[in-house]
Parts: sequence; C-alpha cells; structure tokens
Amino acid sequence: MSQADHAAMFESLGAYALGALHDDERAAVSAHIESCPICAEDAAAFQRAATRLTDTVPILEPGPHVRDRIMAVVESEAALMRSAAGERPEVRAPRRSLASWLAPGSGRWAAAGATLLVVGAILGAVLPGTGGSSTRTLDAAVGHGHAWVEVKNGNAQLVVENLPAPPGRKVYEVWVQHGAEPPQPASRKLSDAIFVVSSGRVEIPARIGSGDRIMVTAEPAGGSQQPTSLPVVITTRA
Amino acid sequence: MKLPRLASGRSQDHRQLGDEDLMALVRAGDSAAFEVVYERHRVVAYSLAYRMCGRRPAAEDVLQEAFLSAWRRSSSFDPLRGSVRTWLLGIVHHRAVDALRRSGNDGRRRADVPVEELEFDSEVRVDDDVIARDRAGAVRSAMADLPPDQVKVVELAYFGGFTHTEIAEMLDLPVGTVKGRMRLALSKLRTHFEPLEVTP
Repeated sequence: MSQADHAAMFESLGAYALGALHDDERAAVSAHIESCPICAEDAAAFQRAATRLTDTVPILEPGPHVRDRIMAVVESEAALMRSAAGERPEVRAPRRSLASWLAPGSGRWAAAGATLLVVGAILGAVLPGTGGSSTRTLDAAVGHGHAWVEVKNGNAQLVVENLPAPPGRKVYEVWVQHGAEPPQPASRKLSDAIFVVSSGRVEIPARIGSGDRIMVTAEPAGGSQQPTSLPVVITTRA
Repeated sequence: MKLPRLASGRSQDHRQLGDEDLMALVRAGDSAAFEVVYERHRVVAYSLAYRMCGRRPAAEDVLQEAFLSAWRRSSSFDPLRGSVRTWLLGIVHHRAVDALRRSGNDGRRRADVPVEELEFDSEVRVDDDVIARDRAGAVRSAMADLPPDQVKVVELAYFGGFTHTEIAEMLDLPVGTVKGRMRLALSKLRTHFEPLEVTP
C-alpha cells in the first residue's frame, strides 16, 4: 500500500469508529488495520472513545422475552456443537421434542421413556468414512433409516434411505460445519439446503473439506439460518 | 440491587467471573457463560439500540442480532483492543446502523432530537448508579469542550447512523471536512477519556 493510500485510510479512522463509512469503505479500512499496527491502535482507541458516547443515553431495560429469544438460539447451537463434538447431550427440552417426533413411527421408544437412549442411538452412530481416494462414504444410522454422504470429484451428495418423515410441517435441512465454527446451511439459497424425501439423494452445494461435519436437522418449512433442533444425522468427512 | 433471573445453576457460578474469563468460556461454547455476559451488558446495549432506533421492536431486533453475532463470533473479541463492553457495544452499534440504513431516512431523524425529547415508554428508568452518572457527566463535559460543528457530525454519525457523505450533503460541507471533524473530535475525546479508561 502506498503512503497516499495509508494516509487516506488514516484519515478515515474517525468515520470508521463512528460507523459512518459505506460498506465497501469499511471493508477496506478493516483490511488495512489488519496489517497496519499504527492504524489498528488508533482505530481501537477511537472505537473506545466513540463507545463512551453510550454513557449519555437514557437507561432502558429490555424485556425478559428478548433474553429468552436469544438464549433459546444460543442453547440450541451450544447443544449442537456439543453433539457435533461427540459429547453426550444433556436432557433438555429440545431433546424431548426430538424423542417425541420419533415416537409415532416407533412407539417403543416413547413407551420406554428412553429419551437419552434415542438421542444416543442417533448421534452416537457416527462412523468413519470409507471408500476410494476420490469417493468417501460417510455413514450415520438414523432410527430405522440410514444416511450417508458421498463425495465425488469435490461434489457431495447426502443419500438417505427410509429416513423418518420430519415432524409436523417441518422439513429437513442440511448443515455444514467447518471446524469449530457454527454450522452453516449447506446452501446460501435455503431452498437448496432443505429436503423432505425419506429416500433419495440431496445435492450439497457447499464445499466439503476433510474433517468437516455434515448434519441434518428438522426445521420449519422454508429452512432456518441457524439450527433450531438437534441433528438427526451427523457425519464427518475423514 | 436485584439480580436478574438466570436459567441455570452454572450461570450462578459464572457470575463470580470477570468478563474476559467469561469470554474464554463462551469461545468454548459455554452458553451459561454467555448468559451472564448478556445479563451484565443487556441494559446498556439495549439503551444504545433504542436511542438509535427509537422503537422498541426495532431495538429488540438489534439487541438480538447483536448478541447472536457476539455468540457466533466470540473469537473476534480481542482484549488488547478494548473491554468486552466496548466490543459488544461496537457490535450493537454496527447492527443498529445497518437497521437504520435498511429502514431509510424515516428511521434516522433521532440524531437531531435531544435526548430529553425522546418519548420513552414505561420501562425507562432513572439510573441511580453513581458510577454511571459520573461516566455520563464526564462524557457530557468532554462533548461540551468540543466545537459545536464537531459535535454535530459525531452525533449525526454515531446516533443517527448517517454516512459521512450523507452528513456532508446535509451540512453542505466537503466530505474531507466531515471526515476531518470526526477524526479531530474522536482524537480529543480519546485524550480526554483514556486516562479514565480501565480497559487493558
């Protein structure tokens, strides 16, 4: 970056801290301060100064329903991450609903009241991939059904067989989780990430790398930007 | 002071921890730690969102978007750049600016409205926290020392969510002048506040 470019960024730091830049300008300054310690220090100091303006605003309490909305999503995602990491899930409300939707097709689960057993049977059956160098088959048992992911020439497909119907008016949604990042819909276009078939193939538009997890959850019709239920399928690409 | 209700026993334990220690747990996916962070900062975050948006539903949406963003991008918190409070309020502010720009000009009149004239509903509270009152007084004193033309651009940008080009057009000033005033104002505020700043 030239001295003139640096000077332009330097002059923009006040507007940057006040949130007054256009999106493209903001992105440019953000990129610059990643590599310029002088501007990074100024930007952080200006941000602290700008934040002090908040001290003058009248104090208001948000309603408890806001916390409930936020924590419902947070708890759901935390549970998903725990499950994806292989930890044994705790017994909480979302898991009870998961058991309840499995119940109609297999009454003995509900009759036994074995919520954890059901979840464990689903989430615990994550098998390592097998197959050739260009084709990896990943496998997870889902109730009486079966699901796995095939990756061929970089293109991934979820293959499902006899998957239980999603509960109520919900659909299944495919998620991809890179490392410890939160799961993302398998496609930016949600309609490409959802399916309802009990047997068939579902294209996964997202790129699947080694160690990535592919998950399936039941979501409201139209899909969700973040999971709202526990996964019924978790597979990991070897 | 009445403490807010927390959902889990773990949250009660986490209350003993400082913000930075909580953030280490949040990064590891600890939702109970995040709940404590939310409870500690929800009031100031919501107050800022409401000051900018002026409507309760919009402010609630901003609060929700901001805290979910904080949860999902907890690794972006850098204690060397500021406190958890500063980091969170930066996210809230960014989200509120986005909301104002999405809503168009109608939603952005409030930067010009003195705080005393805003209509608050029944949940507005008179803060009796001495420290909060002192902090507010310090900021008002610092702002009073700034030239009015610098205060104007700072308020239009920070509370109104206007871009520097919109402010330049509004005030019939060159864009460079607006940027310069923003930088000058924040430089003075920085000098004023930094000795008081308790963040690392």
